[in-house]
Amino acid sequence: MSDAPSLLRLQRQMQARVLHGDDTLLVQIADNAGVGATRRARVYEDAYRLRLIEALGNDFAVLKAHLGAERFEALAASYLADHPSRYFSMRHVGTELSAWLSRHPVDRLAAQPHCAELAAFEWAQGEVFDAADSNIVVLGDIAGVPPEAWHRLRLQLKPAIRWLPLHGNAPAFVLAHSNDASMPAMTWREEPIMWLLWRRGFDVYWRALESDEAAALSVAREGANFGEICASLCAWHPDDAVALRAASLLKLWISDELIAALDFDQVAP
Amino acid sequence: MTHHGSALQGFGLGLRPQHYERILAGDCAVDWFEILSENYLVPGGRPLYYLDRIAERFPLAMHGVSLSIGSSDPLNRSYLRDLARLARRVQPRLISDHLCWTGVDGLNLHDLMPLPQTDEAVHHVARRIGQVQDALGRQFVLENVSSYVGFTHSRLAEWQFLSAIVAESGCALLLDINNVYVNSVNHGFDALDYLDGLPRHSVRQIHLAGHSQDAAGTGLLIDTHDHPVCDAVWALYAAALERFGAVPSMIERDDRIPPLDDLLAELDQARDIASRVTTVSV
Ligand SMILES: [Fe+2]
Repeated sequence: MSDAPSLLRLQRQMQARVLHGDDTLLVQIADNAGVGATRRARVYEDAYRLRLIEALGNDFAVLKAHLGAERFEALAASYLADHPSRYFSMRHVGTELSAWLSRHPVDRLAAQPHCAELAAFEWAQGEVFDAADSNIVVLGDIAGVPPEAWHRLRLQLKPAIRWLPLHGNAPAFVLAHSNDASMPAMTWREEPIMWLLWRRGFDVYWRALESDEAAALSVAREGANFGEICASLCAWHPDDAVALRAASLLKLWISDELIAALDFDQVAP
Repeated sequence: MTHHGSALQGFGLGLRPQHYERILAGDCAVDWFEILSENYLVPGGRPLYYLDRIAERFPLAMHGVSLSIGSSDPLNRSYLRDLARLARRVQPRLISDHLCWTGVDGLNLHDLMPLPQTDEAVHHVARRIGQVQDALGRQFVLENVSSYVGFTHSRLAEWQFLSAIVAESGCALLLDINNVYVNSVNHGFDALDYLDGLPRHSVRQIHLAGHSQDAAGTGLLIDTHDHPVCDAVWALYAAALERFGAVPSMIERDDRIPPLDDLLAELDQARDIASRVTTVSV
């Protein structure tokens, strides 16, 4: 037939049908069993919507529970309209949801910044869950650091760590959801608190950081040596207490399994 | 391009996270597992930990959904590199994906979209399978899919389309018996014509699965993988074994996943049919 579409044109027509209900595909559909082209095409349209909304519902289970299934599905559909997937794997489809939410009101009733933070928190949990594996420093490894090397000691944090500044109480929502408890009241503070999420074994943990710990861990992550980590604590502690606080933080980070390696220039014996 | 010492043999199951612990506890009457490749294209953590341990004890087949072999977009080279890296890690007996496209112009519908059965599509797919086989350094295995639309300009029957791609690319086939059955109903052809029309020595693996009726009442069958294998599909399986011999076979279940023992019992049904059919005919 002279007007048979090229493969490229047919694929564009079919994709446009699935994404926006475009009509141009319908005349290309053979219908030998009397089902009707529209109803045949609809199988793909419905499957697309259901599959991606279900995937988002799994990745953002707490947000879905908070909003209710119906509102969540409407939100997911409108997110997908703005962000059709460009990823090879469905596990990435929700990558932009939190950022998108912070720009788009869920609806008149929902607290939008709060929902965006909840989405960011759930996404970070997922990222930590299958982030790269690494070595883990144990407390005994500290004994291998010679006293004269302490000031140039650098900490290598492991890859399965995420940081998240939160104004609201998203973690309390996640906790309530996993305990099958009712959702707490929303709270919001002017100054955000830094939260740390990390993997230990196969489980994802999180906790709020004290502001001195957040500062010290942040300079450590940027490659500061132990002397510089101590210096970062001077804003919170008197000079004679800084070393002790730094040592106790280091112990805490090691027992939380945050540290992948202790780097110091080994001097040849 | 056969792999004598390392071909799949016997009866397998799709590997699902729900069953990791039970599988590693031992006493699991399965000859091999098929993994969904995308589940393990992750940096680290629990999935890869279990995969490595299961790969030590069982032969594996790698089965993907993201290759998009029929798309008009260029092949996704970084995905192919990731697949090759995973293959080095688990040493699979075979690597398969579907005869479909998943998106165009950089987008992904995350579905197995049907191709028009034309000469243009045969050449297009065969050329890309050649590139995949070069990138993976091995024969590629292509699976037939369920579909809900056909196209007025298709000039080949589905089995002719598959056969032409096999002939032109040198790939092998993963024959999904349920998909043949579903398409025979959805597009009104005789499933035995389909089996008779395939190249006899190209079928390396068989999928068995359940399907559903379209809830919208169209009479279409939908490939949902959430039910046990139905009688009509078992009958077609026997007919396939008569034609293709003792092909390694497995149950695919992706939704409403039952306990492992239920799937093992379903797999025993496949064993029964295979022992009946293959002692008579081959
Ligand atoms: Fe299949």
